[in-house]
Amino acid sequence: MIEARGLTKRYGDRVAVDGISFRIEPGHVTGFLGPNGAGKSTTMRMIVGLTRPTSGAVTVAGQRYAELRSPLTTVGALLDAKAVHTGRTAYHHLLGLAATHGIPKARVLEVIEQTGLEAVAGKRVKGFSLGMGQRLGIAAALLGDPQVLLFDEPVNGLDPEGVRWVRNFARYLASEGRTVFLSSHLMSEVALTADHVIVIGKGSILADAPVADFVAGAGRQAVRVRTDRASELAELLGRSGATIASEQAGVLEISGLEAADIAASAAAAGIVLLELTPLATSLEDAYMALTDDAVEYRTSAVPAEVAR
Amino acid sequence: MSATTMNRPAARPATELRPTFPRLARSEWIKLRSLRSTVLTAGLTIGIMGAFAALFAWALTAFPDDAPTSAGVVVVGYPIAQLAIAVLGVLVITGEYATGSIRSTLAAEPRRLRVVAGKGLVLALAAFVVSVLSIGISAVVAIPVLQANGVEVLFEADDIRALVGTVLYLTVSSLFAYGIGLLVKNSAAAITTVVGILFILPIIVQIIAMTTRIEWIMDAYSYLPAPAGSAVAGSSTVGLSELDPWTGFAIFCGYTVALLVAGTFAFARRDD
Repeated sequence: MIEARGLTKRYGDRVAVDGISFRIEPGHVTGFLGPNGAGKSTTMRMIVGLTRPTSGAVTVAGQRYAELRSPLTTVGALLDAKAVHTGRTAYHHLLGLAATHGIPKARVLEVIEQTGLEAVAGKRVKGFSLGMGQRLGIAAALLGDPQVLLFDEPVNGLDPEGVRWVRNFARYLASEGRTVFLSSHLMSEVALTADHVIVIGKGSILADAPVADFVAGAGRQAVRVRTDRASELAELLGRSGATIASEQAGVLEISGLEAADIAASAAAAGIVLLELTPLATSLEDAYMALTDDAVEYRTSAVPAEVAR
Repeated sequence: MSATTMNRPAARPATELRPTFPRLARSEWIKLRSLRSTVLTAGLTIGIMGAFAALFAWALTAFPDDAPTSAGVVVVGYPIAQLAIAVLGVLVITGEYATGSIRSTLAAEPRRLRVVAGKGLVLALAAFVVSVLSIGISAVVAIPVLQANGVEVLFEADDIRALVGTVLYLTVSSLFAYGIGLLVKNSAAAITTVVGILFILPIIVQIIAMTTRIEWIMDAYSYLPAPAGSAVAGSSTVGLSELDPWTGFAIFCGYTVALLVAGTFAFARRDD
């Protein structure tokens, strides 16, 4: 379990992480979602003690990282694929890390096999592709067979096969009862991998919920209705507290009411509905709605027609 | 079974997986020996010492004057070899910053003072072995050549001191450079700083001293790190320090300790 309380990091005037608190439970994949520059990596680095919080604290298994009796067997972290000396072979990198904890050589060979690095383990890391680097980072995280795993942007630079491997692997690790905390700026990745999501923007937590609830709660849940008697229906539904928008004559977008209730009201009033469509919000929509104000680097808007 | 034995915590198995200092040192040794830069700088140090010794021995036999030669003649390559071994000392830490592997190192052992100590210990031992090999090979290539050509080689106390002193001077030089690496972090900047202090600074001070003839500048020269430290490598044939050999070496060790303390402080407070 990972627990943060009032975790804050300032760099001069800039607040990278602004007093965030969260708990990450074992047995799930928790996604850590946010635009670039939102504070994801800073938070991850604070968890493993590489960056000192300005205030607040974060603990793993109830202790600050620096106080852990055995860091590598408690937490495995892939902070970025480049945390390796490029002049060393993958095997020696892992062997050197393992030696700090007295982890036997057999375990080094095991994680090399587990991450599919057998063919390149004897090669210097200099020539590795980004994908191989990610696999090596994951191998290093697994060395101590830890109960808590942190993966910062693990699918960056991976080919589709590698992406699927990371996704399945993260889910498998969580199914064994481990705590898996995985950051990404890609909503689709989190949607496919995580059970729970923490959304961060400009250093603050914007949402902390099961992925399904996040989609349901953060976005607009609307129903599109087409009818010849739009104004009459709007008046009727307005009385039951629904919010009604209309962009087009004869078409209403109703939020705050279930499709079934709308149909019942319409039927009771003898209004014929020509269309009744629940508008599902994608995780992407929810994420965009949530982080819209929290994006650090914004691109100018692309006209909607072109974007679609 | 008595209550006392029952309450005693279960003995921890020897194989418990957690960081200890010997394990950290072993890890640092694996890391050091698995880099080409280590093999290269160690090989250069030994090669330079051997080559200079051979060259100097050949020069002495080619132009003989009947004076006996100190066994200390074999250390003649140390000012250049020192730079090679200093690069090794710098890279032990700056190489980790250049590649980002410092993050893996600190994730495995978050206690930074131990990391500094572990690296320092392994570096010192490796540098010592390399220095011993340097002197050994230099002696093997130079002394028989001299003796075969009728040059008398002296093995008096001061001559032996020069040999031992050079081993110590080279070893401590690697730690001097390690201290600068801890402070400066960047490989190129740290190597430039080391070369500047050990190699360029004495030359500049010497030029100023010789042109201005200001007495305190002339005195100060001997107390610069390289001139002070090299006093211990001097013999009747090599070197011309005004300081007593061990005094000079102690001054150099003082500089090294100061750099290591400052570097450790900087490293421990750093946020990365």
